[in-house]
Amino acid sequence: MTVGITHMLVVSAALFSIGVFGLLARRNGIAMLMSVELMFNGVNIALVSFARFGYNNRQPLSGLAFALFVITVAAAEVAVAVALLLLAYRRHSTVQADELDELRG
Amino acid sequence: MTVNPVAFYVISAGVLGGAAAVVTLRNIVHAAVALVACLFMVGALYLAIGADFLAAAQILIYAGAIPVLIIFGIMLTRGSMTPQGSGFVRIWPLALLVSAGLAALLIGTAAVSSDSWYTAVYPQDLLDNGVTRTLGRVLLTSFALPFEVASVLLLAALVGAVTLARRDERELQLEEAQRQRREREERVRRRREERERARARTALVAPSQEGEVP
Repeated sequence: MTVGITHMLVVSAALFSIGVFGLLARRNGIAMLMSVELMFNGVNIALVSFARFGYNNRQPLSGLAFALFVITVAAAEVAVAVALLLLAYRRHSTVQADELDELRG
Repeated sequence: MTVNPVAFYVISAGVLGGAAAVVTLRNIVHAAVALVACLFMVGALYLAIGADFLAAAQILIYAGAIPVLIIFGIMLTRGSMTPQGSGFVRIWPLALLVSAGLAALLIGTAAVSSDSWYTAVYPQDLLDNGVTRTLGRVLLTSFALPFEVASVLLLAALVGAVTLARRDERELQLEEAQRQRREREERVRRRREERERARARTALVAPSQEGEVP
């Protein structure tokens, strides 16, 4: 059986769902950040496989260009998120998400 | 060009296994190493389906730069390195349920929908021109504006990260005040201890003097 877009989309969906589980279940802020990276990669696999298997002459390789922009935005996001976690650690001496509950009513 | 099935299955197992390790390992440093492995395997997957430039970018940025940043984050927040408890929230079965439902929905949609539209392979003229060269041309023509905006975004993120992580004047004063208070408390404690020691010495001496004078 040849590998088609369905196979790639299944891997992409599984990676995205594993990332969602990590984001919801982990307490550590940095572990949550890593889970978000997994979700980004799940989406990127889908974009790249659309570009590869759904080639279109009018707008060639848009999926690859989109994936590149996603990588760029993810790099910016990680930089800001690490800075925010650092700030939270300095103020509260913890990065556990359930202990940062200053706004709790 | 078709995708090699053996390579696809081996690499996909690596990607998903690495991802599972990232979300389940209690030690955050081990999770970060698993993240590097997982993202590296995603790069291999891009290579397997013939997206060379994306594979290079993935390995440079995702398997190289981003984990370095995350490991910096781990090292600078010392408390996060030692695992506390299980590392999961109390209602993690609910999270598992939500993500399993999402996975079922997405995989079901992918499996049910017809993939006959997506059987196109790269045409010969694209392969002759080179995929990377075509991608470069696309980036600087159709996507020229997003390309420029991305550079502004990166600059903004750089400045924002520096501004957030810098200690500002008020924080420095706060830390100085805390340090001084700690020192004062330490001095008071040491003086009290000395006084008590002195009192204990005189108390120890006094009974023996009384005992010598019967």
